[in-house]
Amino acid sequence: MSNEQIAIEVTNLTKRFDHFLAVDSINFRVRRGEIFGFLGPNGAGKSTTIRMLCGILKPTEGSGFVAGFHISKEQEKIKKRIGYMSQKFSLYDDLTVRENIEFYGGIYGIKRQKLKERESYILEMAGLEGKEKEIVANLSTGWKQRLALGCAIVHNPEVLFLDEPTSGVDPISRRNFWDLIYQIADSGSTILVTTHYMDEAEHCDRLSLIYKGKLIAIGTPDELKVSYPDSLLEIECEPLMDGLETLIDASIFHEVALFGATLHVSAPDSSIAVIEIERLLKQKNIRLIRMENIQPSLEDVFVSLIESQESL
Amino acid sequence: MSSFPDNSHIPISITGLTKKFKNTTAVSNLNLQIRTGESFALLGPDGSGKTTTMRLLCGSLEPTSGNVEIKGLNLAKQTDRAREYIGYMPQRFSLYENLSVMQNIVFFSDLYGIDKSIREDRIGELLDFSRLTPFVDRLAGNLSGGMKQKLALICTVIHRPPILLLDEPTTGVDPVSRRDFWKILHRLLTQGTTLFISTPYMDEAERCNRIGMIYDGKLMMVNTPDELKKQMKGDVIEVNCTNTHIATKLLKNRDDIKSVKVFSDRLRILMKESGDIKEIGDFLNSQNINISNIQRVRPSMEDIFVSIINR
Repeated sequence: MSNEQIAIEVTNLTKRFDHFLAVDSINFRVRRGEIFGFLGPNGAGKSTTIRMLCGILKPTEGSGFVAGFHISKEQEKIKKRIGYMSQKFSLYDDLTVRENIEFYGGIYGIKRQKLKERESYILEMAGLEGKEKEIVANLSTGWKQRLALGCAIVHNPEVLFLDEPTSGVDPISRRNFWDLIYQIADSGSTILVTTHYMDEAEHCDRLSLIYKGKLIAIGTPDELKVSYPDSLLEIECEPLMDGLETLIDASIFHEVALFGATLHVSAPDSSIAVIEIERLLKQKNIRLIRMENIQPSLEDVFVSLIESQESL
Repeated sequence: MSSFPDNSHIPISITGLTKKFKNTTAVSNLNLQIRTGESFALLGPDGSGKTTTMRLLCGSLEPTSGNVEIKGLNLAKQTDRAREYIGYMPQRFSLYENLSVMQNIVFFSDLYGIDKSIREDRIGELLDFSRLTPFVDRLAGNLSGGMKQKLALICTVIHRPPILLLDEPTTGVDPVSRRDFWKILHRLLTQGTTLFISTPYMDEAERCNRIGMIYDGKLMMVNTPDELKKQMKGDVIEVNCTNTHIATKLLKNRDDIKSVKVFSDRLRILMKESGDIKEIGDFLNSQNINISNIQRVRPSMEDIFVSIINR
């Protein structure tokens, strides 16, 4: 990758607060135009990393470049080239849609003529045409979210940070929102997004998982699923709850969970697990209706990655 | 003998339940019966009426009209007796932040008058299942979000209520804590507890026996996850192709398509009715989109939700 193709690069990035190691020597690169997912439990170090990338917080050790600028030496240059949106949309409720866009344009010092252009682009992109004069307080959450995104890109940033942008919106709004994110990425912006919705992580080109300050996995959604060490079995049996109890009590499987009318069992070796499950259920006179191997979800993958870290 | 039908075997029976706040109808004419030992998910986005429903079901909010019966008891009239059957965990459960994990559990055990002889085993089992045993001496205020939720659940179920109402218990909780949380719920379900849980997460709803989809205060659909998938109107087609966002725009102009979900390397197309894979493929090819794979796929819970929302 040549330097022009890299939007974010961090090397041994570390942040220590007193004795607490919030971010522990992480390394990663994000290509221009890529949608990069940043996942991890609360307190794992996601926000601290983003704040360092935005030039708000100085790293204790290590270095990083965002849009070609050094994160602890060229913060002001970085701030002009990045956009940020969080789940708490920073909009002015008593201003109109247009006034909010103009306000953010003003902050970034965009010239009048240019701002007019950006304003029509944003209104069109977000589907807000005809709503220019509406007071933001009267908009639904879905619309507010799209306006907040519009305001975050008013200065056409090279890198856009989205911090849990879709918490609490309905599935249709979420679909429309991702449409916009792809459009922004297609126009050349790089996007770093954090999310709690595992199914949403599937939208990203690549994902990284951060846990206790360490980057414990990085790859495309498919690559991560292939790396899942266990086999996952879906089982239908009757009575279901007796089956659940029997398999939990056996204490020989990594995970036994209820999914609707089926059980999901994860185990290191599926052929051995199949024999064991058949034996255990038969012993308790539980009728096995169906048992098959299934693909793990991203949530399965992340839980397993985190648990393997815990047992180190 | 009472001449009324005996509904004492039905944990929750909801008839015509409606709640209006000034000009908005938060919950509109809800009808639903929950069976003993089942797990029921009330699935919907923010503002759809989930929390209002939960509060109506635990008796902390009075309905504008309609009825809730808990094991045959009228919740509005026999409130105290009905509530004895319910364990309710609101979105913000009040733990005592300056008490330790164990002190919180003991406090709630005292509150419910749980006999000292059975207390130890019960607490031990719950702590074990939730993996909170190493943290018994930590102040509740110093727990992570996921751990707080697990502790709140323990405090809610310490007296073994037969009916459990949980209002978005895992919102914002990381996936690992969410798994632990469900392990406790599984244990309670095997013990015969009836579970009514509200959630905005599609994948979480799929863990339950039945799902009720709520939108704009209306219960749009109630069924098992499998039946919901079987009954869904409209096919779901997945296409791996180039230029996914241009393809999305082209497809959205078609009248036979309800929604398109875009990924970097593929599209998920929700048809209004049945869809012809070959015709969709030819259409995209004719617009210079290169397709590497196109197939019909099983609908996800999100597809079903999108298919019932009309706008």
